[in-house]
Amino acid sequence: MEIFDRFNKKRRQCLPLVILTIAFAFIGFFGSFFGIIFRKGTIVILSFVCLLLAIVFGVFTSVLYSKLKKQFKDAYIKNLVKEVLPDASYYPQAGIPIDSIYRSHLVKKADRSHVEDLIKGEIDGVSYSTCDVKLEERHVHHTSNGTSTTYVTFFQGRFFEFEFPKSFKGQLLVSETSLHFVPKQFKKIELENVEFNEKFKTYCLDEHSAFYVLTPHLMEALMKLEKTYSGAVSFSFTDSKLCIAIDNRRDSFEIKLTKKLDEEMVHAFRRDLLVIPNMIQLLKLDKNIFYEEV
Amino acid sequence: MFLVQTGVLIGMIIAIVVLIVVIGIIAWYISAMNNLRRLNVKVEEAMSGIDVALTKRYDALTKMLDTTKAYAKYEAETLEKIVKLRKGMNSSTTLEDRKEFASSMDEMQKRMSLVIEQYPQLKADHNFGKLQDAIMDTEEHLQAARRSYNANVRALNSAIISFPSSIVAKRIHMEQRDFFEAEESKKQDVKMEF
Repeated sequence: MEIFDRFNKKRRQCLPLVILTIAFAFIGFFGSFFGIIFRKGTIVILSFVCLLLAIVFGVFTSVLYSKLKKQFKDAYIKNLVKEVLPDASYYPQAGIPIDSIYRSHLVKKADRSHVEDLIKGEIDGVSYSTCDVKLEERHVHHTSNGTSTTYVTFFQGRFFEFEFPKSFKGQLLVSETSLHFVPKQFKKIELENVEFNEKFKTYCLDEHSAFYVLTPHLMEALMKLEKTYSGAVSFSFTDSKLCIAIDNRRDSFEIKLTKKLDEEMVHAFRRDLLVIPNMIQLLKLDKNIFYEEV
Repeated sequence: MFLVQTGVLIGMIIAIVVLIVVIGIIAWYISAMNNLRRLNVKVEEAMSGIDVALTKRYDALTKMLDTTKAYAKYEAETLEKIVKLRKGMNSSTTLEDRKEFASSMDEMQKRMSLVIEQYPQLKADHNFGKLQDAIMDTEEHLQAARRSYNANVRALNSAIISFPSSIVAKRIHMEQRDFFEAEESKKQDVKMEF
């Protein structure tokens, strides 16, 4: 594909900068280390110059890479979204509002958050939105030289919001992992399906609503969905809305400087998009599943 | 003198150990009793959920009957008699009564479906369609209430039969509860498409 050749060429142009950055950083780090140990002032100065150059090249490469990613999303992903999901709109720089994500109670509040690659649309009358989410927690370490702050990622993956065809009171959370941060009003309950209880932890505000929403068939569908997608999957049901969080430590629709753009990558992008209709189909959100046809 | 002191000391140690064991047993007994009572209250709550769902279903079916009357007066009035006899639940209503009430409504719903089949204009009525949806929704609520009740009964029954809480259950005369089973025909009636 012509577009791939173009981007592969741009990607290759960035590679020498990456190599230079790594080389200067390597020389700078070890040079300063040996310079200090053997007390060679010249080596120390030269090493610091190398480190400075590594920083300059690093920043320059990062800017170029960001630009390349943005260009790729505008030139290719936008069209791919239109092709796979005709009624969808794609906003590379936007995401689902972070407060809306927190209201799902599937993730705890982060010290630093980033959302991108928002896709909004409708399939068979079911409106949806999805985006990439990265949430980080600040860790402060106290050492003899002062304090150092690092950010540790505790959630990275895809977040989905679907219209849910059932109206009920309260909120219901189903998660593969324990949700220690849910408000105290949530009660942990067990349903009649032993396999489901072993796989998921269920928290609810109203027990009747939990049984009303989680029909035996929906429980089976959730287990199937969990098997289909890698990563920790969790679900939040609120009145007429279903949120799904998949923590798979992946950043969707991104090109990598070190990886060639090829058909395999296109398949991966396509698969990421097809997750949306697959979920709607698997959970039968497009049908009035709860009523028998009369 | 020394022997006397040692004897007193051993006696005190034994007394303290016995006291700790007795306090432990009492604490466990109270905790087990509270747990059983809590489970029993949950069963009662779930039972009231069934009552609410049954009442809602009754109301929805009655509304549907009223609409059907306009088209099939005689059949609707006959059907009405089936459930009217069973209506009215209170604290003295047993689980069997509830099951019977639910069955009579199932019966009425089945017969009503047959009546509706004979009146295409009734079937096509927009409001009637909404009523049908409402009935299905009340049916869903009833199924949820039934499953919630059964889950709570399962938890209570397993606490009653498990040792050593079975001892406490026997002492406070707590007995195993019956499940609210759905009829096979009912299970088929409410076809969920998952």
